[in-house]
This record gives sequence, structure tokens and C-alpha cells, in this order.
Amino acid sequence: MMNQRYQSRREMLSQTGAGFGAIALSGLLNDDRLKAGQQPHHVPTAKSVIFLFMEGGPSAMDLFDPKPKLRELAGQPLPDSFGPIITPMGEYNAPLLADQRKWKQHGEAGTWVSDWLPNIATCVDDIAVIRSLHGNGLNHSNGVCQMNTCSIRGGRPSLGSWVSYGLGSENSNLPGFVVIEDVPNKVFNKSRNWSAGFMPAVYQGTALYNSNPPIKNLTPPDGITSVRQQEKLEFLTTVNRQHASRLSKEQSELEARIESFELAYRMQQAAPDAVDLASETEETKKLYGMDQDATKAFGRNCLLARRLVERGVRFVQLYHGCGSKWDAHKNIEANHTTNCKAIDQPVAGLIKDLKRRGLLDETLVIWGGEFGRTPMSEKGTGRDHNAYGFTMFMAGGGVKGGQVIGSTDEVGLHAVEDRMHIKDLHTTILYLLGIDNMDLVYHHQGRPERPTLNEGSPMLKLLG
Amino acid sequence: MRCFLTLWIFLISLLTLVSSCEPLAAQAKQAQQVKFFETKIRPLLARHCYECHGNKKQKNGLRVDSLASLLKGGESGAAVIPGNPVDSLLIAAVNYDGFEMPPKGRLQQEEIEDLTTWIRAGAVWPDVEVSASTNRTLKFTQEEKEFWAFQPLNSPEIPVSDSIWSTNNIDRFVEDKLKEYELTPAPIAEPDKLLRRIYFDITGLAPPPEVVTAFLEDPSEPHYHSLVDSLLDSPQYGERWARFWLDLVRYAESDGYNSDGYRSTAWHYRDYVIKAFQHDKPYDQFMKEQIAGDELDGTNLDSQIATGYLRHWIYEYNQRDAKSQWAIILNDITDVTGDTFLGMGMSCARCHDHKFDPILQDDYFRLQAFFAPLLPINRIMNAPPDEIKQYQDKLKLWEEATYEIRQQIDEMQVAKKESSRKEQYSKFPLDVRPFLFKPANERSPYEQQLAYLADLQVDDLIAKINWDDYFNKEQKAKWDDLSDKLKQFDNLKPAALEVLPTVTDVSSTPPDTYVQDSSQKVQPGILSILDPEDAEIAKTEKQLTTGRRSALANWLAGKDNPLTSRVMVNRIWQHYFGRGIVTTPSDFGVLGARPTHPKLLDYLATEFTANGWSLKHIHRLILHSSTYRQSSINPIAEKARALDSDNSLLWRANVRRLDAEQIRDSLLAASEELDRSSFGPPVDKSKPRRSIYLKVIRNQPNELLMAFDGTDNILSTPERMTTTTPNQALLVFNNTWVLARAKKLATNSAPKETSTESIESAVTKIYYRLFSRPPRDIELSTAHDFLIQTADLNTRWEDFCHVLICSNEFFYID
Repeated sequence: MMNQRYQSRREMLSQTGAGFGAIALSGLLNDDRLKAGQQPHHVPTAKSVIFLFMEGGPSAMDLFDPKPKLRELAGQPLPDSFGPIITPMGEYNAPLLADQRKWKQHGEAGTWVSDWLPNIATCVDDIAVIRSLHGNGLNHSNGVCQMNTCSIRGGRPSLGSWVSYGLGSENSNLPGFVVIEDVPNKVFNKSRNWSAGFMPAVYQGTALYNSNPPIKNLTPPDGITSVRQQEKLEFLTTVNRQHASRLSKEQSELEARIESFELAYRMQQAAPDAVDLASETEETKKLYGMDQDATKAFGRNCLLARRLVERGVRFVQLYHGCGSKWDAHKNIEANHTTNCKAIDQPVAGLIKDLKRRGLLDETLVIWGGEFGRTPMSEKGTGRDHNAYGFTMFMAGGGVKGGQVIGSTDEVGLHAVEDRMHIKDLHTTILYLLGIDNMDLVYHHQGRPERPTLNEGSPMLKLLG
Repeated sequence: MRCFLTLWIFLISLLTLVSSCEPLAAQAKQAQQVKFFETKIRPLLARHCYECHGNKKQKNGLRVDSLASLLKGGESGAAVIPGNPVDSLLIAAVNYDGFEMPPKGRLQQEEIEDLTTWIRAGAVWPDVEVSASTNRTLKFTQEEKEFWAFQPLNSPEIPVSDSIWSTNNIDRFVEDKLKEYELTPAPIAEPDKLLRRIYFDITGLAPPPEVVTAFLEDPSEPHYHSLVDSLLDSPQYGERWARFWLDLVRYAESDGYNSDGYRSTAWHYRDYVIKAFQHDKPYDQFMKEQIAGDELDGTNLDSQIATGYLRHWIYEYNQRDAKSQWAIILNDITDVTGDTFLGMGMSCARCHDHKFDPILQDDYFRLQAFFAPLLPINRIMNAPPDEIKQYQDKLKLWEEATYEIRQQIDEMQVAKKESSRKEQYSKFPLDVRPFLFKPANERSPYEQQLAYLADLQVDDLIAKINWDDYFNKEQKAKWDDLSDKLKQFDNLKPAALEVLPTVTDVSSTPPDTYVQDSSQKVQPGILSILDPEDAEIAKTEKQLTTGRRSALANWLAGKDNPLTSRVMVNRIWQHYFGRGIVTTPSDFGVLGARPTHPKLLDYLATEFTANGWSLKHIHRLILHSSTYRQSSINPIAEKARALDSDNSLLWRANVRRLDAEQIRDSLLAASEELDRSSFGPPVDKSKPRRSIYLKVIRNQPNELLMAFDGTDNILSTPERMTTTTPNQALLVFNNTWVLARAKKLATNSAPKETSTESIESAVTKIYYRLFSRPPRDIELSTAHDFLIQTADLNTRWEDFCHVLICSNEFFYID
């Protein structure tokens, strides 16, 4: 970060305040002198995060949160005792809809998983299922925004930006926060989801594409050879040095800009290597489901995520179902059958692969959508949005597997026990990374801004 | 303060009356105890306890704003036993014995002793009604009342200076401050640098080569002044400076949520702002028009367009939770108004009294109450009155001619329309639905506002009904027939006039405003620290609106307002020096920075109001000053750096990077592609217009602008950051759009032949164009060496041009 206000790096650090602010470094400030100051608030259990975002909102009561009562009451309206709620599609007296799944308890812990996720079911002893999430986003736009920023309104930095700001990148040749959409430019709210909001652009997420080049503008257009590119770069450095020599020594941002071209050049080498899957074995690719049509697209993204965290990328966000594909307002059977099939093997493969490489201990994997779905039907065969109570799961990064945390009411509408707001979720993620949500501060317009809007507590039960 | 005194006089006289028959000594004692209570105890309770145990909240059932409620106590029993501090729970709590109150931190020992003394002496609590405004005032400490930003604006004394460096009063203040530190300012910058600086600062663009040549030949004071004048008069000045205002008001041309609907007429506001700057509209008028243009001068189209300021909030068309959505919209307007006009970060006070600033939660909603009656409308036609009259006359003819046909069409549609409306209304939550089903004239003003939001979606759905599919065969024949008949009158129907996004009030009766999550009603008012009383609202002429926004507008534009003028001159200063005199331009509060040159700030603010709120007057003062014209190199830099490393004393000029729009515009200007035409509907990013005219779609931010710290236009942005990232380097080096500019520049400027002479002439020209100066010898030879390295001069020239537009000198103003 080279805010003009800071004439020197040291001043910038002193401005960001005592203690932890000093480790708020990234990108260009990757400097050994500064790294020494990178002390988390407490001992972290996770070094990096892979957030698997099922966009549109998967149904809890069809995947991880079985509700016998729902089968019993199916066809009846929601009893008044469950309290008034707002359903965005407004089918207010729609009857309750039973799930049609086969349920089994899995693993040593006996965690319930439905037959829609047979492969993830084999990983449950590494997974903590959280059945008691809740948020305030009624619609996708609000929901996706809150799941990324804690606020239903836009304009705030996303979680990945806060993590980049707080911890920097482990690899100066790659961005600290990477986002991969399964269908580019389709996610609700678009690139706003990985914006750094009021923080410097250096903390924003970088979109990675399943194409060449994987990062926008990474390579020159065809026709510009690398020799030519290299010569231009050298000439640019000469011109810039001549210019700097005539200016006063204070202008560290000019020096930083010269460095930024060198860093960009190194990124040109590092990024293609990170996304080149040629060195991966067939067995590994198969593990991620890359040998099957239904699973190969998301499998590839999951494998990319592993390669990125392996290389020190701090926060990887994978969107599945961009454009709200999980949004099963009608015919949830067909919708979730397809979506679950597409992610089940890849997600299980990711957890298993991370584990066998010894990376799961330091990599927090999070799975979930912006909200869940209602126990009431919509259009007869679907379910509406439900931010009052829904399920996510975590694995690795210090989270104790084989447990189920929290519960919803008898039909799966409201979170009841161990209620965990999205702000609590973010607080917990930060906590696992060694960051106290109230101590990570960015001063904006004189206001001390914090990642979880000054609220939220970590769910310590996750640590076991 | 005044009301506090009034209360005092009232108290004393009351006591005198009541106790006139008692012995004098007892009277004196009573008066003393009352005084002790009013000066020590009531303020203490107000400051530390009322927020949770007052009229808004009564945590654990306890209220501490009357003796009766203290005696009654809360869930744990009586809080105060007069005469017995030891057994009074209040005393135990403040000693953190059992309870820990206040939870934020223990009271000062002296305050605890005061409370103890008060209870021991019998807990005297005078039986007088204390107004809400007094209760608000009680919360402020002396220190807060004396905080610099709330002090009245006074013209400061100008320091005496005999230096030859000083040009105008700005310099005298700056030099005076430098003297304190035994520093001297930098000499005036070299003419080429100065010229480039004023061009970029005033117009956002580099000087044309011929102006460079002329100024290098004659860099005299009169020439400089005439250039400043002509630049301030140029349309480019308005196009440059409007950008800062648009950042503040988070101007955009789309809704901002997922569907991100396009606001096709929003740009009239953008043009209004550009013109306001260009024509130096007095800032007081500029403020008033945006806050209350419709109330103050509804017949003036410009004033109506200005209220577009109140329409820039993000909006989600399919949101069913109308109550929350309306609250979010009003909060957004409150926040932006606080930031933009007052330079006060209000948003912290939405949920509680501000922890650091003397801004009460009441104040947040007092400010919001000015806007609470708002109703957004799209019905003001963008045309002069005679044109509107013409349109209406024509429309009337068409309406008369088609009356019967339309009647029949309506009859065919009415049932379906009504059932659709009912069906849609039923989908709204229970706390909104009942209002929707009420006849419009029975809805309260607040209910009308919610119905307005609901109807936006419902009307839209009804408009989308596909009638061709709806009717049965027989009806369809009739429908087609009627449609055909109606079409025959199309020649009579006038083309619709464009309607503007503006606002009015929902009625002349305002809806109630409550403090968030409480039943406490508030009336409109400004920050209590400035005036705790409710604002006086004058009735508007036609009484169609409440007059509330006019009251706010008039207060903002009042000459005794201590904030508005300081905030605005600081913003102007900020854009010339890279930082404000107050470095937190939208936060003049306790958490914000203190002014580095408080007297200079007040001098500029008084100059501003005394000269008819003319922005150009302030621009000229700054541009004429030696402070602005300093070089970035000062011979005493080493000493100065040790004392003031971030140059807050202004001992030299700051080197500044161009901002996002300057970068894009400069690239287009370099390749001579820039289309300098002004105003009009926004254009696609591929068009070579100035960046201010590009479409602003919130969910599709412009890649180039965002890479260079552009704004997302969702929150108010008072200050652009300057970051340096590898992504920027990749973008300028590899992006096809940037490469295309380089190619165009190369084509326009290539040397005619490979002779040294020809190359040097081309290099010289390009240096004038890009860097506003001739190349140095070393630069000529470096360029020459690079260019003749390969046989293909054209490709090499293209690379050379590309490198120059990537270079630091192109990106920075020295």
C-alpha cells in the first residue's frame, strides 16, 4: 500500500497503529524487516482459507439437518407457533414440504448426511457441521453481500480483503486473495463481492479465470515476444530512474512504482505455474472428479484452490453455481440433484487431498451458501430463501471434525441452539487465523472500522 | 447553553418562592444542594447512565432520570437510599461492587465521591421538569463544547511578514507556522512543472505543447495569472472539479443491487454539478438546491434536478421488506449528508451515542427527521413551461379523441390488473400488507411511503402483463380491434417528455421519526452540541411539503454555521495539496485529524463566505499563493524531514500521482483521441469522451478506473487513495486498450526517417506533449540508443511511446 499520506513505510506502519495494525501488510510491503512484525493476536490454527460458496442457497433440511417433524407436518401450513417471517417470494400460506432423501449417520461420530452428498459423507470425521447459521439477507443480493462483508449493504471490504490486510500474503508473487467463479462474471453482485471497499485496492480479490492468461492483463497480447517485453521493461526502468534522480529523496512511492513492474514481471512467471495442472497425477485429478463430465469443472477449481494455498495464497474463494444456480424456488429435486452431484466428489476430493498432503491442519475449508431454504414449499416443489436458520460446514484449520454444532427448530426454519450469525461466522474464521475481530482496525474517515461491524463472537466449540 | 441558563434562573426563582417562609440558613443550604445536584450529579448521570437507564432504554428495569425512579429502583431493588450511601446499590455499582457500572469503565474517583456526598446529604432532586433539549446538553463535557470545529468562525488576524517569498495571506499563515520550526519554504517551482501542475489541478489534463512553449518563453506573473483565469473559465475546470463532488454524493447511474437497474436520466444531476462548478454557483445556493430545491424554487428546473442528490441511494427493486428498505434509504441519506456537508461521521451514532464525538443517537435521528417526509418522484418534466404546456394541450386532444376506446380497454383490463395487484400485495410481509390494502387516502404519510416502495415493483409487474396471451379468442378479437383503433390516433399523441428523478415530501404532515429500536420520538434538529432545541420549521408557500428540508438547507447555508464553510474550503485545499488542512476531509470530529493550520482554515472559510461563497475565489487564492507554487525540492529538506517528515507544515510541494480519471483522460489526450465535447447522456467506456461522461454502473465498475483507486459509488468517498500494485503495472503494460493508445500515439508522432535529427525532433515533440518540457540531452541519447537497436524503427517507436506513457513522469505531477 502506498497511500500518498505516508511518506515512508515506517510512517505508514505507525499510522496503522500500535500492535496488530503493524502486521497489516501486503503486496509491495513484503519486506523482511516488516515481516518480523507480523504477529497474530493469538496462536492461529489456520494459515489459509478455502471458502466454497454455493451460490443461491443450498437447503439444509435436504442435506445436513434432517427433520422428521417436517415429514409429519408435510402438506400443512406452517404452524403459527414458529412465528412470523418474511419470505421474499411471498407465498405466505404455502404448505410445508417434506424432504425426499435417504438419511444415514456417517463416520465414527455418526454425523447425519443425506444421500445427495455420498462422498462428502465419507469425510464427516474431518467436518464440523454448523446447523445454526442465521443472517439478515432476504434476497440474494443482500445475502451474498452479507456473507462476504457482514453487511447487507455494499461498500465494505470483503472478508478476504480483511484477511489480506491483516495477514498479508505468504507469497509475494501471487495475490493474497483469489476468487474463482465457475461461470465468470455471473455471480450475484459481480466483482463487488471481492472488493476492498474503503480499503486500498491492493487488498481486493483477484479473479482467476479458467483460461489463458488466468489473470487479466497477465501477459501481453500475441505478437509481443518476451524479448521485446523484457527490453521495454528495462527501458522503462531506465526512464523511471532518470526521472527519480531529479526528484527529492522523499518520494518512496516512485520507487514503489518501479518495484511494482518488477513484481508484475515475477507474477507473470508465478501465476501460470500455479494454474498449470500438468504436473498433477491422473489419480489426483480423479480424486477431484476431473474424469467425469458432471464434476470436472468444479473439480478443476478445487484442485486449483489446493495449488494456490500450497503456494501461500491466504484466501481462496470458489463460487459454485454462479448466477444463483442453487436457488431452488421450484423443483428442488432436480435442482439439488444436479448441483450436489457437481460438487460432492470435488469437495470431498479437496478435503482428502489436503489431508494426505498434511495441508488440512493449516487450511480452513468452509462450505455453504448465502442462506438456506424454507421448510415451506414454493410453487409446490421448491423452497424459498431462508436466512433465519441454515447450515454450513467447516473442515481443517484447527476445527475439530466429527461434530455437529447448533440446531434449528423442529422444521428447520429458525436457528435455535448455539445460534451463529454471519458476523459470528466471520469472527470465528478470523479467530482461527489468529485475528481478534475487535483488534483488526482500519481507520477510514477517522472512524475505526472493524471486519465484523464491531459485533460477533467466535464459536469456540468448533475447536473441540 | 442558553437553555441551561434559563433553567437555572427558573430554578433559583422557584426555590426562592417555595421556601420564602423557611429560615434563611435552611434556604441557603437547600439552594446549595440544588446547585450541587445541577452542576455535578445531573450531568454525571446524563453522561454516563441515561443511554441505558433513561427514556429510551431501561436496562434491568432501572431508570435514573428522576428521584422517584431511583427510589423505586430496578429488578434488584432501590438504587438510592437517601442519607445512606453505604446501602445504596447505585454507589455499590459505581464502585464495581456486585454490579460494574458504567460497564465502559469506572467513573473518576471524584465523580464517585460526588455521588456519595449527594446521597449522604439526602439525595436532593429539585422537582422541575427538564426538557429533552436540556437533557441532551447535559451529556456534553466542557471539553466537547470547546472542541475546535464547533467554535464560531472568526476572521483570524493575518500574521505580519516581511518575506519576499510570500505572495498572499495564505503564505503568511504558512510561513508563520514554518518559522515556529525554524524552517523555510521551498522556492517557486520551475515553469514547466508549475504549468503542468495548474493544468492537471484545474482541468485534469496536461497543457497543450504550444502553451508549454509560450509559458517557457514568458513565465511572468501576469502570464501565470491570465492562465489561471482562463483555466478556471474553461469547461474542463467544471468537468474536473465536479468529479470530487460526485464522489462525495456517491453518484451513479444504476440501482446497485443485483439487478442494478439503469437510471437513464440520472446524468442531468451530473451535468448540473459540472455547470455549477463551471459557472461558480455560490456554494450556499448549491447546497440549498440539492437539499431542498423543490421547496425553495420548484419552478426552476435546475433546482429540481439538484434534488437528484436525494436519489443516489442504492435500491433493490424486488425487496419485500419495505420497512427495512425505507429505513436503509433514510439512513443512507443521513450518513451522506453528515459526511458531505457537515464533515461529521454520523453513522456511529445510529445505534448509540457516539463513543468519541459529541454526537448523540438523538442527533442522528434529529438530522434524519429533516428527510423523513421524503417521497421520490419521477414526474417533473424536463422542458421549459411553454413546451410542457404544448405537450399537455396535445395530450388532452389525444385523450379526448380516444376517450371511449380507452374506456373500453380499461374495462377489459381492470379485473386482471386488480387481481394482480392484490396477489402481489399479499406477498408482502405482515407488517406492511395491511397498509397496502388500505385506500390511498386513508394511509398515514409513513404508510404512503411504504406503499410507494411496494407499488414500484407491483406496477412494474402489472405493466409487464402480456395482454395478447391473456384474453380468450373472442376477447382477443375485441382487444385487437380496440388496439388498432387506438393506434389510428397515434399521430395526435405527442411524444412523451423526459421526466427527471427528483423528490418531494409525501405530504405537508411529516411522518413520525423514532430513535432506532425505541419508542422515543424526535423532531428535526441539528447537532445538539450546536443547538439542542428542535429546529424551527417555517410553512412552505403552497404547503404541499413540510418545509423541513428548507429549514435544514437554510441552516447549512447560514453564515454562522461553523462547519459547512470550513469543510468545503478544506476540500478545495485537499485537492491542490494532496491532503486537507484537516486530513480527514469528511470527519472534523474528535476521531478526525486536527487542522494543521487552524487559522489558515478559518481565514479561507471567512474569505469564502465573505465573497458570496465563491469557490473560484478560493481557487484563485490558492493558485496565486507561493505555497501552492513551491517546488517539491527544498534545499533545507534534510532538516525539515527530521522535524516534519510528512510535510504537514508545507515546506515543499507534494509529488502526486494522477487519479483514475486523469490517467484515462491523459492517455486519450496523449493519443490525440480525446473527445472534449461536454454534457449529455453517459457513454460506453469504449468512447473517447472524458471519464466523467462514462456510464457509472455500480456492479460493473470500470476496470481501468478501479485499478487506479477509482470509487465504487456506493458510499460517500471524500478522498481517493493512491495505491501502487502489480495489477496496475500489468494493466498499463499489457492491456489492449492501453496498447492501442500507445499505437495511436506512435502513429501520430513517428519520426519520418532514421536520421538522428529526425529521431531527436520526434522525441522532442513527444516530450513536450507527454511531459510538458523539452528532453534533456541524456534523455535524447537514451531514447536514440533504444530506438536504433533494431532495424524496425516503427515497432521500436511504438514501444518507446508505450514506455513513456507507462513512466512515472507521465503518472505523477511534480
